[in-house]
Amino acid sequence: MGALRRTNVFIPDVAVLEKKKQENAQMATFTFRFLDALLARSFDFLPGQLTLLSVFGVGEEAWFYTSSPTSRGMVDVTVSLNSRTGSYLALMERGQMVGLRGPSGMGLPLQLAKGRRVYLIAQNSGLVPLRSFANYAVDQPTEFERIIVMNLVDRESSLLFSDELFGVWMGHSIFEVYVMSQELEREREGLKRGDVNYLFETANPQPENSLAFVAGSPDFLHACVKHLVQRNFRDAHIFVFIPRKFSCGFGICGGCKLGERYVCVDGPVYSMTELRKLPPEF
Amino acid sequence: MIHDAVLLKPKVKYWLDNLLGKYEVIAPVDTGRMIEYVPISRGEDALLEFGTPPLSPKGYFFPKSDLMFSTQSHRGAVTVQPAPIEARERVIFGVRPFDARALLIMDKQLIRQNAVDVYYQARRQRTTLVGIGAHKPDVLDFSVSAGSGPFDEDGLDMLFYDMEKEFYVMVLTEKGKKIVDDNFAPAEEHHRKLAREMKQRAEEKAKYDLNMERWKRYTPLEIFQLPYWSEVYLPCIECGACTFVCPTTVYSRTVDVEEEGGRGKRVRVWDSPYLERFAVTTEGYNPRPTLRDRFRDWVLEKFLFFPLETGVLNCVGCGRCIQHCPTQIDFRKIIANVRFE
Repeated sequence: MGALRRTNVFIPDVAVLEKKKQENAQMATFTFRFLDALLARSFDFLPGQLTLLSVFGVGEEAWFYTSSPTSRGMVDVTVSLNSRTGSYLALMERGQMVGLRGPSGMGLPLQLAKGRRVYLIAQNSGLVPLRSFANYAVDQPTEFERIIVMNLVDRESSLLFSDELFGVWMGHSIFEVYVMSQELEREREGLKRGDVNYLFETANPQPENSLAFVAGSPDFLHACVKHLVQRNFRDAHIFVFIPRKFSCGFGICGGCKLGERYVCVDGPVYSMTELRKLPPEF
Repeated sequence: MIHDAVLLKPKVKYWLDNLLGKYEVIAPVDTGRMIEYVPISRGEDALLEFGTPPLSPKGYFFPKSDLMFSTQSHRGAVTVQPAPIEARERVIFGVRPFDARALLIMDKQLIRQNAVDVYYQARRQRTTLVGIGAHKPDVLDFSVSAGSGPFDEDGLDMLFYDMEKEFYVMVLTEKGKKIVDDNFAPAEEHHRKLAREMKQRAEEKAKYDLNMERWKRYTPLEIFQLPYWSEVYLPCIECGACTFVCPTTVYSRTVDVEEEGGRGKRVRVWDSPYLERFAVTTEGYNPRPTLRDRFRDWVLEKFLFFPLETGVLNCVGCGRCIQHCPTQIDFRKIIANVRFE
């Protein structure tokens, strides 16, 4: 699933907009169905992989698949409405068509995660690349020991996927969900005031048989890695999403390069073991 | 398969005229603006003696503006039509040997194990490359030190040695053999001897000690983090000229164009990592926010990261980046003088 599907990697597959859902003021999730029925049934990807989404005549940008790969027939893509493609998608109606290329990148290490406790640690839109994994775990709960969501947002209005955070995930027997907001007028059940330090103190991640997947701003990534290392998580068990430009999506245009690695081919998730050898460009 | 021949200079135009019947022929021409590789319609238009042209023939494989696909929208439905793959065979005459080596480096970037640029690949397959060795290398030519040379044969189908009144011609591949006609005469031993001497003399001139042995004592991360990079970028005005004249570079981005009647197209255009927006993510994060970061990335991609990935430099030592830099940055010196402290 690391390589793009087509022989001519520049050609997107046409997909139909089926549904859109505003997640917060900046982000929305768009549900697409591939026009080609066979492709719609057979299309596969891994949580943490990206699609290159074309609004024809406007351009192409990379966004994460956010549905679970178990949801066949449709794919969710969560997009910033302030982006070039996002601002046009916001105006599109059900039935209108876009292009999707991909999947791009290697995604999360699903096999390694099986049988383990998995910490999904996200700040603000960092939850976007982790939603697919969380919903995969909802569909396949026996594959994991436990899923612990640790979500930090700047303010309550930055929350994403609230229905899942406070509903499906919080109510699921294998999930533990910790949500904190740095600015918050009034605490309520499931939502506390706190920063990254308090988030770690509260969730108290344990390294035994665990993996941590971390996504957010560079400052947040550094802070989380520091906390995890202090708690004796091994570098090989900490996986970080590297913010990188995906343009061609298969390692030629150079936009994503990090040292000798093409992030759009073997990223955007790297273990800290790998990242410590690469230029610290994040 | 190597065999050789001789072609008298006055016969070159007749040979090229013969080729024009079957092939599209591209050759170096003085267009009044500069020496450029352009399609010719008469063999006599091709220059036989010239310095390093400002641009290599790279654009015939990886055009500055390259159609990827067209779209047609009708009542909400969109169809996508891939760009046609050109089929006509072509010959590029007068290729400098380091520019053919550059195409081998481009192959490593564009014909990858997991994905192939089908447009580039088709152009490579249908093109025969005829080189003319640089018997008087340009003063900035350091191609030997970069793993190529003024008479480098790799990547060429034919290589011409300029022997004043005639060319000694090495036929290096089956593609090259196909374009030999009765204008060519058999070569003799004295031609071969002269060619060996000419190659040796030229190679002596196309050298510059890049002093890269020292790099092996340091990890890539240590080299990346040297304070040296915070000094050497200062004259750079981030115009990107070095990237656009580079024969090995394939940085690119795409542009969508909306046309009348529901038509549209996507075009790939050249790009430069010097430009501030080059690596900015969809969400606006720039991993290389300073010019220092971008300059270092360009230099280390050429001389450290690409070699780590492929075993070869992403440079053929053509010297164009130095020749065309408006602030006279000499990349040979930047590499040779790296300060490891």
